[in-house]
Amino acid sequence: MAVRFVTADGDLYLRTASLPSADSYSACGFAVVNNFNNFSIQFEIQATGGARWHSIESSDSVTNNLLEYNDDSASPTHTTIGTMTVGTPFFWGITKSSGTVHCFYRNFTTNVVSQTNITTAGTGMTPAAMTVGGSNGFTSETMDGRACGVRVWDAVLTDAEMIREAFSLSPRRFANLHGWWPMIDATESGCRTDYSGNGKTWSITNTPAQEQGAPVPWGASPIILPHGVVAAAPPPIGTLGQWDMGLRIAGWW
Amino acid sequence: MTTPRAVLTPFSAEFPASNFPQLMVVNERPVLAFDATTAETCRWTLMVPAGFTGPMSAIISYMMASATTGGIAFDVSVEAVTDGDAVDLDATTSFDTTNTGTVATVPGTAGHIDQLTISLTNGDAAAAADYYRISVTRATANASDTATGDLYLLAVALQDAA
Repeated sequence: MAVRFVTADGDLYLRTASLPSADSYSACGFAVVNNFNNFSIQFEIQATGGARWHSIESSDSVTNNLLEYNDDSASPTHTTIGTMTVGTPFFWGITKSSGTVHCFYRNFTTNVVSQTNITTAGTGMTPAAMTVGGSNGFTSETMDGRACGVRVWDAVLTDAEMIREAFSLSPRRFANLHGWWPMIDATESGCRTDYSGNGKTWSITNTPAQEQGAPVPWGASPIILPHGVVAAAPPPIGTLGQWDMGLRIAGWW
Repeated sequence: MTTPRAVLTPFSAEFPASNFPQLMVVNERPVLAFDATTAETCRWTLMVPAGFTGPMSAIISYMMASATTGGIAFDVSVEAVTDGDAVDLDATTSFDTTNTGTVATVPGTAGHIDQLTISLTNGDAAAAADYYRISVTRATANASDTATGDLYLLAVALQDAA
C-alpha cells in the first residue's frame, strides 16, 4: 500500500513547523513513478521564501532521479542519483551534514544500493517546509506516482545505516527518529499519521488516494514457538502466597 | 494433539518484485491484501525448529474486505534446504509441488474471520534445522476462488500435524 500523488490534483504532504535541522538530517523513503513529470518532487526541505532547498526529484530529462539543491541562493544544481523506470519501485535516501550530502538509490530490480556523494556550498539554511509528493513552493512539480515508508532523522546516519534502511518499511535505526510514516493504512488519515510517536502528522493538499506500493517488507521476523512450552499447574495457595501462572519449559527434545 | 510451530504475520512477510499482496493496516490490524483477479504471492523464511518430524499444516486466518458470498483458494508451497544440498540459492528456487486448500463459502459478513487449514503433504522433506521458506498465493485461477474483492490475510500458523 502507498499514497498516490497526482500531478494534476496538486496532491501534497506538508509540514511547516517543528522541522529537522536542514544542515544536519537524514531522510529516506520508497516511491513508484506512474508517469514522468519534469522535476516532480518526491521529498523536499525548503527554506523560508523558497530561495533555498534540497529536493529528491525526477529530472527534466525524465529518466533520472536526482538531488536538486540550492542552498546558497544561486542557480539550482542537479546531480543524478539513479535511473527511474515507470512502474518500478525504488528507494531514495539522503544524509546531510552541512555541505556534505550523501544520496542513496535502489531500483527494485536489484538489491544494490548506489551512493552518490556531493559537496554543496551553503550551510545555515533555515527550513520552513518539508514535503512529500511535491513542493511547497514549486506547485507545478507534484509527483505523479506513489510513496510509502518515509522516515526522517534529526541526525546524520552513517552510510551503512542508510543502506540498511533500503530493505524495510520500519526504521532500522530508531535513535534520533524525527518522524516515520509507513503510509500503508487503509484510511487517508492513517497514512498521514506519524508512527514515531513524535506527533508529526502531515497536513495535506487535496486528498491523496491509496494505491499499490513497493514490495517492501515491514522488517519483523516470524514468531517461532519452542516445542513443549506448556502452562504449569498452579501451586497450592500458601506455597508461594499467590497463583503462579508462569510457563514451564517441558523439554527441548 | 497438534503442536504450533510458528506464527507468520503480515509484518514478517517477504515479497517478490511483482504480483505481491499489499501490506496494509485495516482498523489498526496489519493485513496482507490479496487481489481477486491477480494471483499474488508472499513468503516467509524461517529455520525448521528442533524436534520437527513433519508433516506440517498451515492454518490461514483471513477475512474478506467486502465479499459475503463465493469461495476462496490458496496455494501453499514449501522450500526446505538442508545443509550441504546442491541448490544454487542465488540463482534458483526449489519449492516442492503446490499444496492447495479451498473454502467453499466465505463468511456471510465482510470482516468476519475464517480459518483454512492446508496439510502441507508436499513438504519438500523438511527436517529440523533446514532453511525453510513457505510461499502463499491466493489461487485466483482456481475454480473455487469466486469471491470478489480483496482477501485480507491476518496470519498463518504452522503446526505439526501429529
